[in-house]
Amino acid sequence: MPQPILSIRDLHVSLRLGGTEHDAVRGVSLNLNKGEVLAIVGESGSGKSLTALSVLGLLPRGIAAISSGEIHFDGKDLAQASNAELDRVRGSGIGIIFQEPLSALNPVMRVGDQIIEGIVRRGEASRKQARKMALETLIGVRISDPERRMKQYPHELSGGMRQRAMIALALVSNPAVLIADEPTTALDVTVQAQILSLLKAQQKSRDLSMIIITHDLGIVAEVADRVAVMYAGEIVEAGEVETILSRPKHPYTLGLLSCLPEFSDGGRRLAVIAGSIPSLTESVSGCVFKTRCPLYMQGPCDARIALTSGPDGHAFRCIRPIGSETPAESEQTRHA
Amino acid sequence: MLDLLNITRRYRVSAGLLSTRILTAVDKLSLSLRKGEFFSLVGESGCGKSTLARIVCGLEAQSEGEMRIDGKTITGTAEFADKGLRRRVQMIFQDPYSSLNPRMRIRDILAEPLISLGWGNAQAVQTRVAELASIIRFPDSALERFPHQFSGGQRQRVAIARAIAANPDLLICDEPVSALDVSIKGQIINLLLDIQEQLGTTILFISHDLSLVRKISDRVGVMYLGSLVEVAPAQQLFADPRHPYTRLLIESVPALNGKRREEQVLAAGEMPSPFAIPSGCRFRDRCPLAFDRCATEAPGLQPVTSDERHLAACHLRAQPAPRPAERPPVTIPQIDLFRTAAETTTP
Amino acid sequence: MTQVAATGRPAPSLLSRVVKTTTRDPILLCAVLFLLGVAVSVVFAEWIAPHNPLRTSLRHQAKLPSAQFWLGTDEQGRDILSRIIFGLRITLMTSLSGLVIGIGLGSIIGLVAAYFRRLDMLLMRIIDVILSFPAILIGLGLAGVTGGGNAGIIIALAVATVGPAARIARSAALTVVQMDYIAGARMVGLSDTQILLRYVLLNCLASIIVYATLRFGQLILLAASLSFLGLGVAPPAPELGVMVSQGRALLLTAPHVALMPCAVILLLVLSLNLVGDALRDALDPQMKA
Repeated sequence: MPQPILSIRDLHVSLRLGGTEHDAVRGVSLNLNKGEVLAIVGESGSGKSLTALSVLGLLPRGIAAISSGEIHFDGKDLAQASNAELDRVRGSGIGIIFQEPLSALNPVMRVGDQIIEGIVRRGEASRKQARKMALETLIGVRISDPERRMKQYPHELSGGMRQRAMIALALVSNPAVLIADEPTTALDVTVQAQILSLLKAQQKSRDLSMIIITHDLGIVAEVADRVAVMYAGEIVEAGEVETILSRPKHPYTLGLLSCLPEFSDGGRRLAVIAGSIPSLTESVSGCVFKTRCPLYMQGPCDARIALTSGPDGHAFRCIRPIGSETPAESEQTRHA
Repeated sequence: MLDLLNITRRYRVSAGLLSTRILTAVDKLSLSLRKGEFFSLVGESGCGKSTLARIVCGLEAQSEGEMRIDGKTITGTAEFADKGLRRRVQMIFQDPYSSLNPRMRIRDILAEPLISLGWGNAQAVQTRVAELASIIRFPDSALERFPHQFSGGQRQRVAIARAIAANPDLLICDEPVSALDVSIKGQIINLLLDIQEQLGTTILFISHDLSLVRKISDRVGVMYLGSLVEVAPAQQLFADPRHPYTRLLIESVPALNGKRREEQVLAAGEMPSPFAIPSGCRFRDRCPLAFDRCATEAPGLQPVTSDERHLAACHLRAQPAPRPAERPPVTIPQIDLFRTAAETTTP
Repeated sequence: MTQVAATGRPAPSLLSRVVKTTTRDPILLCAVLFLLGVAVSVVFAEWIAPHNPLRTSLRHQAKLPSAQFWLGTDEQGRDILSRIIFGLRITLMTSLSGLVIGIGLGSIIGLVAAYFRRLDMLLMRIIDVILSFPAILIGLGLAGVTGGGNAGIIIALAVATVGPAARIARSAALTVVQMDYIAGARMVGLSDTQILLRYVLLNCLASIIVYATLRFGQLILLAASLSFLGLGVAPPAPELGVMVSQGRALLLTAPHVALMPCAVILLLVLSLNLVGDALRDALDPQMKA
């Protein structure tokens, strides 16, 4: 098996809230293989964005920091790298696009200049060459009237075009990996479809390895090869997208699926995962999902649960996974 | 319950130092809601659905057109000064973090509409507050707290309780669950469905989430650049969409099974600026079926068949939608595990 | 519906947060204690001041600080400490009056301008006019009319404060007015007055209070400057600005006469600024949350 292009091992990220430190990402390990699309799925508070930001050292300074763990890329451990070393990786090694282009793009700089500035600063090309590269990339992201767009400011572009500009900005230096943090959440559904198809096309044509962070399982199904489900700072399930979305083993994944309108068959009511995610200040002993899990069993679920991996790469953190019980046992659970 | 006839809303927008442009946010929109029905309005940003919501609940006045609530004609915001009318139409907003006064306790937030709209004496108000608290499952201690001590989903429940406090006849929900996590959305949706079924409240539900709307609505209306382009009973709209924009929307939603048809989605381009709405049919520059008549004559919202309930604003409305390839239904083992939990707690 | 009832997060009380913040920062703690000390001595001046501030003494003219006169004496033999204590009372009352009137009027104008957009332009132009008047000239003019005394100073201070206060209040209110809860207030039939008071004002209060604390320091300086120029109460009344003015003649021989009141003004304004900053930091996350 070839080495994964990006490997995160036992990552811990701490968050400072009101003077105290909390573990917001706890022991996350992920491998991204070359040419594959990995989705990280979770709701608010799952730690998915923090995980993505920590790869490129983009955690908000003073508030969040990597407390332990390794991030291997191109022979280096990014978790230990200095800002100068990370700077060399950003853009040409790993690119990143964010949810809100309005706040990710500099509002007082023309779009073209922003793209060119990065190239020139990294010493990859002269200004003239950089301009050519920027134009080519903008054409590649199918932005309309690219010459004109280069001279415009971000606020003059529509939401979809801004997102394309951000994608161009991230891809212009041909990075090997692209991290997309909720790239379509702020967009209308028709624009979202276009951006997703653009990302897929770019990923194929550049043989990019991509990490896409989202809360939308539909996007996962459409774009990703593998998926990792995060809850309260931990990975609770990971594996091939087709397997996870049709035969999930962890109750939380099942819960996420069952809450979708597609699975509310019969009545109009939607399923709900009772309770709410434990706050950062509460410490939960054992399974972090136990306060909301209908399969919770006092005793076994109160002890720390490790990630179990199957031979097909399907990993889950549960001692009573879906499908492991006999029908008789299921009935018993239902009436408990 | 609600009758809208050719409602139009225009804004003056400054476009440079001395000039102004006219923005038509809602353009001759007509719609009627039956009492007790759950009507969803879908559309993308800029289609005017939020503006329409504000007009219906009296926060803004229409520039032209007639509005009737339960027979009573409304010309602008003045009529809503009458507390009797004010009580009957209420709204729930999208952002749970800005829809509650941060300086008021939950108890006061719930009591305020009762006091202002004349529910009764102090005792009656407190009784009703206790009732509302139990509907949204808030214990007594929670009533003394402030909004910032609660999560988004919990705040939204407070917003709903406040909106239904004085028993409105029409409840407008402007994207009430868009800002909430997937596992929490159901709480709010189920509560709204309870309100509709048990109290007979008419609900106007605004959303951009098509799969949600399909499951919970009686009827659905699709808006584009200020106009209604299609209206139909929910199942029919999704089974047989007659307007190309509706088809585009449905096709754009990422689904769990099956891949979508890329070409159709990509060819659709971008929404035109609301200042430069195309002549004739407003969708024609993105429509795969557009022909010459579309540029000269704007199609009205007309029935697609003899059945009056399904309307579409398209010259080709009589042609049924091409049948998409049958997508195999996804069956997931134990998918009802959380469903059982949900059902037992419905009050 | 959820199984577990919604109880919400418990929040630490205001008092515990205040205590926590002050004890963490020693300089802030000093500032708070100093202000408390000032407040106490101003209220109980008659009991705290060791000497009669008006009592002159030819024997003890311009004496340096000693056991008998903790801060020394001025050119007429009066105890500086006692004069400062009574002087603080005058300075603070003058500044406070100007502050309250200025902030009060300014806030009303600012809030109304932000809430009733049609009045915004008109009101803000009026404020612009007021802002262009230098406070000192107003004070001079009024002194000419009222013949000295504190009324003139108070009015000058108030006029100088109305402008910036209106801007601050308007700025805070503009954010508040966009919020959905304002629309929610209209939805339940509240009148504009009710909304302005219960919703807009309450939510802008934090910004206004923070500004008031910082402005208080500036007004103290302004009041002292105006009385230094001779526009306020006349000597022998102990007022800090007047004391500095009178001490000018002795600056080379007995500098403490002028410098002591100066130092007190400095400490007072510094403490107010520190507390104002801390207040802003404390109230900000609350506002965001």
